[in-house]
Amino acid sequence: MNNEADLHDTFTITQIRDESRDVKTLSLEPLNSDLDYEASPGQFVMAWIPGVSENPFSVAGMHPLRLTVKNRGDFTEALFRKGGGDKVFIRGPYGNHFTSFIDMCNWDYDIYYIAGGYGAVPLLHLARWYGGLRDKKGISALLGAKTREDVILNEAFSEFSGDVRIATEDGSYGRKGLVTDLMEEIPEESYLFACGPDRMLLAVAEKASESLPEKNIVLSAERYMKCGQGICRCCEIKDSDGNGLSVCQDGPVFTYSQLRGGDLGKYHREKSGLKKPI
Amino acid sequence: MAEYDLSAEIGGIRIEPAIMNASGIYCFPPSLKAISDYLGALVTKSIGPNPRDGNQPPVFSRDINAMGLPNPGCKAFAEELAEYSETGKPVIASIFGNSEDEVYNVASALEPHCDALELNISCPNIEPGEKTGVTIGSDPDLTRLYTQAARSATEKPLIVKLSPAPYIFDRGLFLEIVDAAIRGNIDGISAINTVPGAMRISVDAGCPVLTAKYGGLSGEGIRPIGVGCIYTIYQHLKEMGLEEDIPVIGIGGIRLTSPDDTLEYIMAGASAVAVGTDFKNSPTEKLKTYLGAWEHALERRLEDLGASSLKELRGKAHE
Repeated sequence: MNNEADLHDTFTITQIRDESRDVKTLSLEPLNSDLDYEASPGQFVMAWIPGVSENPFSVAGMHPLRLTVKNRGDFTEALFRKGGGDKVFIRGPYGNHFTSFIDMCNWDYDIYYIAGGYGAVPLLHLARWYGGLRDKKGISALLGAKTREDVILNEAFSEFSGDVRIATEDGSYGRKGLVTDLMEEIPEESYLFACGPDRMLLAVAEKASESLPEKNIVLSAERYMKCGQGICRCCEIKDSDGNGLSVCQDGPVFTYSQLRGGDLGKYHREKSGLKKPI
Repeated sequence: MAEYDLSAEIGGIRIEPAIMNASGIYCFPPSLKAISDYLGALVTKSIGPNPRDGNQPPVFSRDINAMGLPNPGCKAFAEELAEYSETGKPVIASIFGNSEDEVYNVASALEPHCDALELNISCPNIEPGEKTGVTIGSDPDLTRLYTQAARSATEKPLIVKLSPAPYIFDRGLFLEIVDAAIRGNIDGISAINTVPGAMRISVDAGCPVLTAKYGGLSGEGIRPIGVGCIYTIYQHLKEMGLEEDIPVIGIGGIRLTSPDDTLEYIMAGASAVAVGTDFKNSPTEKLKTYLGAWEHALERRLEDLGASSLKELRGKAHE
């Protein structure tokens, strides 16, 4: 994956694991074994299936490249029909990293991973990174989902978090309620990393800002993308000053101080660029 | 400390510094606002009469794009523009349509909310049979009709953006197209749009990368075509004594880190330049640094050349 070249590298699927009824993790190895590739937690790749389309996916893990994919349309259906040995064409990685928002002076801060459904994916990549560097005491994973079948990666998170809390909207697993209901007494000296649907991100950020400085509330946003390279601005998200940032280059990771009062949780652009309420 | 004049004027609008984004790049109002301090004018994406999704991805492959004119439609975009009228920099709305009526309607919808219009008769990424984009800009009669349609919708400055396709094919025909636009009483010409017919094949996949197969080529490789095209246009304007009345905007393969790329276009006859591809792969803050560096590097080059303004160097390659 060569960001400068912006061309696709060929990967083959080496393993497929079912995470839930409509989520799978695909492990991918490059066809060219000399390929030097790395993607930091928070980054994403553009995956191309010839004849279908090209879509962005958060990187769930590296070595092998792991993409955790939820079936939600034509592209992901086509991806789900693939088997071991099939090819997927990948360009990237693009975007910024969760880790660049961590001040090393605050290394002993508490860590909160807050995931809404499928948003657990890039957070797990971050959890593995942290897990290699510090003890899981003081690290909590708060996972929210609609129903039991949508709870994913909780076992993986427990490997890297001293405390895993789960909430489902229908109460079929864990506590009944939203992931924000799990956010109890977060100390001021914490980092909070959240990923999930836009309105969830806004609700989490608003609640967290009652106890944390906004720069320590770190959010991974998602928007429709075409170029992945910062120029078409389909993925534009308006920040707190009314400036348009790109989720693909300025993000996907932002602090709440950057996004408060802007498009987060409120507006996104469709394929035509038409601005619509979320 | 010497002062350098990097300004230009188009249709009475001051463009300072004389650099803008190419249409289609960074082109929604909030993103343009983010970099407005560093550009002399802000150019929107090409807007048509109705919302249009554009082509199925992949629509980019390095220096080739096949976006296919995605846009929110003139009604919705007029509302967005109205909200962003106060960046302090002139806004040039790029427009297109599939008929003279559509061009007139789009121009009418957007002209209250911008400072100038740029008529796109040069996009190559259109559907077969569509009467827009490069189909128009390859034909002198259609160029004249569409330009007049836009002209009749507004008294604000009107720029026409031309394709390199007819220029490459037949310079005489190209100048007929330039003349046809001039007869529409325009205030400026911009050139070039992307070079049509570009393709990249993925050898491992065994097929073209772009879902639309063909796209428009941009970036460094097309700069010689762009420079030659601007030179040709300016030469022609000079012969008719119109070089002061119809400023030219040079577009195609300009790198922000190489001031001579800009000066090639200026010396060919451009008053201002627009940049597209070179904005790629830069977070917004990094792009602002590059744009600031472009200004400083240009000033140093002017100093080398013993000039204190871009105007002094305009068309110098013709002397």
